Amino acid sequence: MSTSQYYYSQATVSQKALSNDTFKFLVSTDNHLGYKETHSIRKNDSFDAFEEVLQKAKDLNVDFLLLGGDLFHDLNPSQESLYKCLKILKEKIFGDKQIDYETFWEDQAPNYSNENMNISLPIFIIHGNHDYPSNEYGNLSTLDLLHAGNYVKLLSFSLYFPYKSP
Amino acid sequence: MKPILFHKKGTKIALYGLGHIKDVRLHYLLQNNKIKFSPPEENPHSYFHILVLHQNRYKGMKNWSLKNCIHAKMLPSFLNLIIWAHEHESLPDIEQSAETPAYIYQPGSSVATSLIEAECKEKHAGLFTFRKNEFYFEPVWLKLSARSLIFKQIELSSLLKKKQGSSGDDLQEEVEKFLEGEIEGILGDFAKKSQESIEKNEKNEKKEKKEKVPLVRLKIEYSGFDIIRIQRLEAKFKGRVANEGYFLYFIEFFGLNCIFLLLHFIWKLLHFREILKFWKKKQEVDEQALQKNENLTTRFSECFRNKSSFNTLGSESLNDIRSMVKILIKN
Repeated sequence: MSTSQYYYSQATVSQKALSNDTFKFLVSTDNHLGYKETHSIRKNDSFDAFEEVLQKAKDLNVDFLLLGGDLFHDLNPSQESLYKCLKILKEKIFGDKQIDYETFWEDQAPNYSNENMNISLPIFIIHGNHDYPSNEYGNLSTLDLLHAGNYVKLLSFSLYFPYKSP
Repeated sequence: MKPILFHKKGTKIALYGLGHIKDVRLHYLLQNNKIKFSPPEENPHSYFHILVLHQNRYKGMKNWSLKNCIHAKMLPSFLNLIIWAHEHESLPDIEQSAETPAYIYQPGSSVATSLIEAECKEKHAGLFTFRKNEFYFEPVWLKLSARSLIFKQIELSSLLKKKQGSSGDDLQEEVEKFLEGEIEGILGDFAKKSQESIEKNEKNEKKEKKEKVPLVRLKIEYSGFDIIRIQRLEAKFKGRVANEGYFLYFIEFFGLNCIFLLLHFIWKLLHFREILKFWKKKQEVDEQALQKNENLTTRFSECFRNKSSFNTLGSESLNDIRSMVKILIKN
C-alpha cells in the first residue's frame, strides 16, 4: 500500500458529517432474482431484497451501484421475474439528480450520458455463473437485454469472445 | 483488460470487471500471465484500482482443491481493492492478508439460496465513501427484507444411550417427540426475539417491520436408526416454518453402532467428512478407497468391541486402514 495514495481509515464517521466532496458507491452481489418463485411462501424474498438494496442506494445519495453478478437465478428466467425486475428498476433508477463526476471509458459511454433518458442511479454489473452468455442463446444473457435497454451497464470483459458494441 | 475511470473532486477510481469463467481455466491463465491488465498510462499511482470477480475463493485445506479456485496472490499487485462475488457468506469487514497488498471484501449474497450454516449471518451491502485520499467502509444492513435462517445440529445417538432396549416403533415415537421439542424450542426463541425487536422499534418510533416466518434447518446424525418418517412432523409445522417439506436433512453416520463414548468421539474425528455427506460428490478419492475395502470397517469395529484382536487382521488390511486414515486426515 505504500505505492498508492489512498489509505483506509477505520474511524466510523456518520454520513451527515461527511461533506459534499465525497464519492460514494454501494456494492451488492448475488441477488438471485427468481429463486423459488413457485414456492408459496418464499416467492418474493429475492425481489424484496433487491428492492431494498436499490432503495438504500437512493436514500444514501450514492454515485453509482456496483452489482457483482448472478442477478438472475436461471439462465432463462421466467416472464414474471423479468417483469418484476424491470418494474423495480423503473421505480428506482430514474430521477432528476445531477451527476457530478466524469467517467472515461474506451469503447462506450456510461449509462446516464444518453440524452433521452434521465438516470440518477447508474448501475454497473458483471456476468455471474448463473447468467453466463452461452452459445445456446446466441452468446447473450438477460444482462445483455438490460444493457441494451440502457438500464444497466455491463462491465465484464469476457475472455471467450470479445465484447460486443452496443 | 481496460477499466472504467472515474474522476470526482480529487479522487480517481479505476474499475475492472471480470465476468465468470471456469475456475480451472482462469487459474491456468493467471498463473501463466496471459491476461493483460492495462491500467491508465498517465499516473497509475494516482488511481484507486478496484477489481470485481465472480469466482470461487480458496477456503482452506478441508474441503477444497487447489486448482478449482482462485487465490488472491495470483492477481496483479497494483490493485488496491478486490471484491469477491459468488460467495454467499456475508463478511461485513474489509480484510487484509499477507498474500497481497490489496484489501479484500466479500459482500455475500442478498438472499439465502442454500440452507447452510454460513448463510445464517445477516445480509448486508457495502458502502464505500471516498474523500480525497481517504476511504471509509460501512455495512448497510438489509433488515426490512431479511428472512432469518436458523441452523442447528443434532445427534440422535444421545437418545440411544438412554433407552437401549426399546423396539422399533417406540424408538420412532421417541425420536419424533424429541425432534418436535427441538423445533418448538427454536420457534419459541425466535418469537421472543422478534417481540423484543418490535418493542425496541416502537420506542424509537421506527416503522414496524413484520417479521417473516423463519427458515429452519436441522442437521441430524442418525447411527443405528432406520429411516425415520418425516411427514407427520412436517404437517405439524406447516404454517410456521418457511421451508416446508425439506427442513429435516438426514445424514448417515457411516452405518456403525459405536457404544463406548471415547470411541464415539474418535470415530467422529476420523469420519468428520462422512458426516457432511452431501459434499461427498466432490471427493471421488474417498469413495474409491472405501469401495475397495468394504470389510475393513466391520473388522475395525470388531477389534474395538474386543471380539477379535488386531493380530488377526493381517498386514494388508492394516495398511489399507492406514491409507484410509491418511486420506481422511489430509482433507
